[in-house]
Amino acid sequence: MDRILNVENLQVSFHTYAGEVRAVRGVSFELGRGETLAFVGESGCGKTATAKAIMRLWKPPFVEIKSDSVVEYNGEDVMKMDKKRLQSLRGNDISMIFQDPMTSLNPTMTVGKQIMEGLQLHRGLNKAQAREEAINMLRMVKIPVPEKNVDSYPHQLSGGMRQRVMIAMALACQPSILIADEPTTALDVTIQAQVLDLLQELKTQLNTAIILVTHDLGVIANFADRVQVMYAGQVVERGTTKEIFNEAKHPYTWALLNSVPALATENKQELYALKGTPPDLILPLNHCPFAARCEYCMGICREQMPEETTLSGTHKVSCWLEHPNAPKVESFYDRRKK
Amino acid sequence: MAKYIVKRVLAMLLTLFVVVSLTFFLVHAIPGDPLASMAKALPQQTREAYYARYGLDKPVFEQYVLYMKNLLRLDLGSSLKFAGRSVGGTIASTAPISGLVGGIALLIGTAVGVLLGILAALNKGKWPDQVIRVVAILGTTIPVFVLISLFQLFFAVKMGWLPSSGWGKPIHLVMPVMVMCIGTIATYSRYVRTSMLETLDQDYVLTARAKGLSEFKIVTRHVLRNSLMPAVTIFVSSMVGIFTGAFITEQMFSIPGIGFYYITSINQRDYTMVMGTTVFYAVLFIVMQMVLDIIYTLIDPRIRVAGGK
Amino acid sequence: MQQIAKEKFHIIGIQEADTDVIARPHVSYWRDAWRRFRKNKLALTAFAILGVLVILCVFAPVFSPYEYETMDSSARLSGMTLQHPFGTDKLGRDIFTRVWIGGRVSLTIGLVGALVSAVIGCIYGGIAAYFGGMVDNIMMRIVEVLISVPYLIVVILMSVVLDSKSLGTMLLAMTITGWCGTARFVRAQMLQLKSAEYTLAAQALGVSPWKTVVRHFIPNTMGVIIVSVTFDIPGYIFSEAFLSYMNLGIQPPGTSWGVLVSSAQSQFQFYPNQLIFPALMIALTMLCFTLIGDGLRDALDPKDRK
Repeated sequence: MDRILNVENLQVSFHTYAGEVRAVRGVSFELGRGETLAFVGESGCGKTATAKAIMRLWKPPFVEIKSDSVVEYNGEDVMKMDKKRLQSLRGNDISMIFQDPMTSLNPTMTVGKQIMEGLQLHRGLNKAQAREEAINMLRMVKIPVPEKNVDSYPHQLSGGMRQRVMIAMALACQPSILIADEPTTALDVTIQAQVLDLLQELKTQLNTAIILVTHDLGVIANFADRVQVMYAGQVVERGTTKEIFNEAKHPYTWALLNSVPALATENKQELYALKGTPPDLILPLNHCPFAARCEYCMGICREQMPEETTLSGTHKVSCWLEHPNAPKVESFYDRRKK
Repeated sequence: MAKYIVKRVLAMLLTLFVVVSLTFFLVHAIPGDPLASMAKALPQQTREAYYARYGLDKPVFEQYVLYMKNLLRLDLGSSLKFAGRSVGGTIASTAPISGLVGGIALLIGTAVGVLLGILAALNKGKWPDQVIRVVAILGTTIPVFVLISLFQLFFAVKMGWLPSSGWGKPIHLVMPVMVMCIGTIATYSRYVRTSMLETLDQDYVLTARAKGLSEFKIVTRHVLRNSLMPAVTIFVSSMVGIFTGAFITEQMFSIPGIGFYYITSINQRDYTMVMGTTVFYAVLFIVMQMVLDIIYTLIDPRIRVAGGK
Repeated sequence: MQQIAKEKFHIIGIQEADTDVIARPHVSYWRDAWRRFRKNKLALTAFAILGVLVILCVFAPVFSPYEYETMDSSARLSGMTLQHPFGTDKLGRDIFTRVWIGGRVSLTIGLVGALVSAVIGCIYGGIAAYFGGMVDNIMMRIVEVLISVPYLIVVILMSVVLDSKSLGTMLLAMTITGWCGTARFVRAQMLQLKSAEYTLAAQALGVSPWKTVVRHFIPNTMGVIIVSVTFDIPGYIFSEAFLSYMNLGIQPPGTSWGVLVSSAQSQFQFYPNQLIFPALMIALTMLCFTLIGDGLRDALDPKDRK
């Protein structure tokens, strides 16, 4: 597989009044060309922080990306890029769409102009060409009457349309990687499906790699190639979508799977609600961060951080249950069968 | 849109009517009549003629109707203290002078203030921000008349660079403009800074950054327009302030502007003059507010649509 | 793989006690705001200076050997001496004493003016927002009319109309339309809260309207109102100085900072000390309130509460 992005030991901290909040605690992963990788986890688990850090969108001094973090785009170190290179990377090589299409578009600029900006900047098009291209992009994301809507202001479009505009804007320069941060969360369910279908279609058409950030496992089932489950700023389990859905090993992943209605209610089992809240990331946490909420918590879980165990080439999990001395427990799948 | 404008104009006329009526009755509620001190010495007959000339012998309501009728013909009456001087004429000859001084000061002050505000916001927490904030706060905390005294002492008495007061030559403009600028600069830099910081926090700024725009382009293309919009509000009220805010400045520099006459007429209890000037101010203010609304719809596409519906 | 004792691998499951580990002390809104305000050195300094000014205004005249209105023809137009630290005026009155007496008036006007207009504004804006519809419409129209007369004109006009120059008259003149801004802003704030989701949630849960007001509306508007009062105070002090300058202020023998400044202004070039001290007090007070206002706004704004 042709590797386009390599992230190693990424650490992001927020400096707040109360102290240093370590939002991302050593996340590593790779992304292949044209591949779709999903980050899944509850809010505040560091998914968005990771995504933004890849493009270095955080601004110091309140947010710090630790110096030993490595982000390589196509073999080039993003952390060491100068301002100029970084600007040409953003939007051209890697682009991003955000959760709320209501606030992510400039209210006082027509959508056409907002799409044209990137085209003029990165591809050196003149105004007329950029406008032509913007109309093409709008057509591609299936905005009706693109020739007319290119001059619309964001408030004249519906939420779903605005998210399409965001997608058009992000894909205008045909980046190699698209980071989609909860792209459908703010939309109606029916619109969600449409937007996801569109993303899927464009992805194959343009061979763009996608990092999909979401808290909803349901969204990724038909969409992602690989999934990494994040908890408290760390990756607790990773694997192909199939592996995560059918052979998950981490109790947290089970809990997430259990909260997807379609999966959980097959057996008229009650929807499972995870108790408690994720740990405060201001804490040092030198043991399994999930220990306090884990049904299968063991003594060791509260004392030491589990190492990542490789189950297959692609499937890895960080959990003490994988230790040879650990008892066999009834998994999510066993329970479901009952 | 047309319907919207008509509605606005009607509302404006109503407001004007209420304001003028209120002012009229307020002024006429002043105990004692305005001619009393002057007329005391006059023989009975002359006094009556005098009262009749100003319509003061009629019941208040009749005077009111008369005043409103005259107002419709843009006639504000004549001065009670200076025979033969019409209020309208005085306003017409003094307002442009105030407008000139205030206008220059407002333009310079706004330009400098906005620039400083932007500079402060972009350097939030660093030294330019601190310096600008302190200057801005100082600018608003020193009373104008103290500032003028200091300026006159320094530039005129000590250094002899500028005339301490007077009117007629361009050099007379320098000090008043400087003084009036300071307040404007202070207000705008504070305002723009706050509004700019708020805009910089918006999601679409992040979108622009993710698009690869340079910080300069982000500011010029996305942030400025959205953060200067609220500043239009204060720009309009400071346009009225050109006339109202300059009472003290005009008096201390002996500039024959409208503020100068307003103070004089208050001190002399020249009620028709006070009344006329107040009406002038109110009209100006209300019209400006409407202008503001229209400017707003021009620069903010969101309102443009809402107004059209 | 390292050796780990077998008993460490007993499943103990969830222990209810520590599902919600409290990492940071749970602080209330006001506590948190106070903590942040304390960190703002500038605002704290301003607060201290203001405290000193207030104490001086209250006590300095009591301990001063001079009465503020006593004229002393033997000590006219004295410069700064040990007997008269701020000098004397042309009637031989001790400026040091007069400055603090004047401060009482100026500060009273500032504080009372801002408080009165805040209270009226809150009630008015609150009523308009609470009832909404026609009531709101009419009430806001009235405010619009009142606001459309320039503030200083209203103040001047009122002082002329009332034709008395006592403290009360001045306060009345200044607050008569001064509350309009607060009313507008309280109304806007209330309307926003009224449609806020947590208010709807509270209603859906059957919380009584009274409790909603007490629990949600008041705490959520209190912060912004306090900030606006703080910013209003220097405005009133300034208006007082302005009126005094125009001879519409407190009349002798009473005095205020504005009166002191305006009476010293004509001979400023010869006796700068007569102007500098009261002017300094005005500037210092306004500066302090502005800095405190800035500090409070930063401290009370829950937006960047971390």
